[in-house]
Amino acid sequence: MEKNYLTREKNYLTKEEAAKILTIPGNVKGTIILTNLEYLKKKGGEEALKKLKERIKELEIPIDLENVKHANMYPEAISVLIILLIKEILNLNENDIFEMGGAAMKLSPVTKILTKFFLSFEVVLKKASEYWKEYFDFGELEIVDYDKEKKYTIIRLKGYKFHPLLCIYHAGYFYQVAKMALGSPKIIVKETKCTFRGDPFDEFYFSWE
Amino acid sequence: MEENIIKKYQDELNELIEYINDLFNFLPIPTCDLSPTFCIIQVNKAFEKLTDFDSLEITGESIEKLFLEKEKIKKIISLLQKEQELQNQELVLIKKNGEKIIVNTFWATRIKKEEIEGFLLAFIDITLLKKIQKEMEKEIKVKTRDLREKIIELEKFQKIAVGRELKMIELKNEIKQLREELEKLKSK
Repeated sequence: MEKNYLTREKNYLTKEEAAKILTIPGNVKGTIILTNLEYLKKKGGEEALKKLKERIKELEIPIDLENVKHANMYPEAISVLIILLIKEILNLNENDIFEMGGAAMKLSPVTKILTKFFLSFEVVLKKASEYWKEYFDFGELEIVDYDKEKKYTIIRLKGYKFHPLLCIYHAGYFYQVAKMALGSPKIIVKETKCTFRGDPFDEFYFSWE
Repeated sequence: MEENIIKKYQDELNELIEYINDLFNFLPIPTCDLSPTFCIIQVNKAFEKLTDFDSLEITGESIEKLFLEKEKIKKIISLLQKEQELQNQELVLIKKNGEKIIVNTFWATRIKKEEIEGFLLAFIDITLLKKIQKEMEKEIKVKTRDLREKIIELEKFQKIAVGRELKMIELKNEIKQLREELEKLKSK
C-alpha cells in the first residue's frame, strides 16, 4: 500500500503542524498510545523513547508519557502526533507505518480481549463498528460490502481526518485484524477513497485468497 | 458523580491490566494466548526467550507454524473442542533459527457462556531431560547386556562347579565300592 503524502524530504514535524492537529476533536483509549510506545522501544530502544520525550516537549504536546494508562481516554490528536514523531525518530517509510498499525493490534493487551470475536471473519465484520467504539469516542467504522464467495470486503471509516499517514496506519491495523481472523491467508489491501483526496470518508478494499 | 464512578472503574481497570501484564511477563514458563482460530494473540517474555521470536514477529501467526508435527497439532485442536484441558502433550517446537527442541505442552480452552473465547498454551523445554533420559536408557541397555553376560558366565561356572561336585561324589562312591571289595578279598 503506497501513499505519497509524506515523503522523506518532509520528515520533521513543525510546531505549527502539531498545533493545527491538536485542534481536531476526538479521543482514543490510551492503550493505542502505549502500544505505539512499545513499538518505538522495540525498534529504537530507550534512546528512541528519550528522543520522543524531547520532541514532545519541544512541540509543546500536552502529554506525560510516563502516566498514560490503557483504559483512559486521550485526545486522538496526541496519539496521531506521537505516530508522526515515531516516524520521524525511526525514519520510517510507508511500509513501516503499515507494519506499525499492525503492531498496535499485536501489542495491545486490551485488544487481546477483543480477539474472542475472531471466531470467523464474518463475526469480526459484524462486530467491527462495536470494536471501533471500544477505542474511539468519535468517527464510525462501517462494513459496506462483504462477499464470502468472491473473498472481498469494503470498510468505510467516517468522521476521521487527522493526517494522511494515519490511513496507512489504519490499513495496517485492519490488515492485521483480517489476518488473525482469516487465519493468515494472503490478504491484499487498497485504500480506494480518502478524505485527503476530497472523498467524504476513507474506504479500504480487502481481498484474500 | 457519574464521572467519578467512571474514573474509579477506569483506574481499577488500568491497575488490573498492569497486574495481568506484569504477571504474564514474570512467568518463567513460556505461555501464549490463542484466538478461537488458533492464531497467536499474545506471548510472554519467557516465550520470546525460548523461541527467539519477537512478539511482533510471531503474533498473528497460526500455532501450527511453531511446531513440527502438524498432524499432531490438528489432533490437539480437535480434542480441545471437546476437552477443556490437555496436559503433557509432547511436541517438537521449531525455534526462529530452525533449531528443534522437545517441549511438553499444556493446553486450556477458555469458555464463556458456552462459547469458546480462545485457548491458552504453556510449554516446558524438556530437550535436556529427554537427552538425559536417552543417555540413561542407553546406559541401562549397556548395563543390562553386561549383566546378562555375567549371568551366562555364572551359569557356565555353576555348570562346571556342579559337574565337578558330581564327579567327586561319583569318585567317592567308586572308592567306597573298591574299599568294600578290598575288605571282602582280605577276609577271604
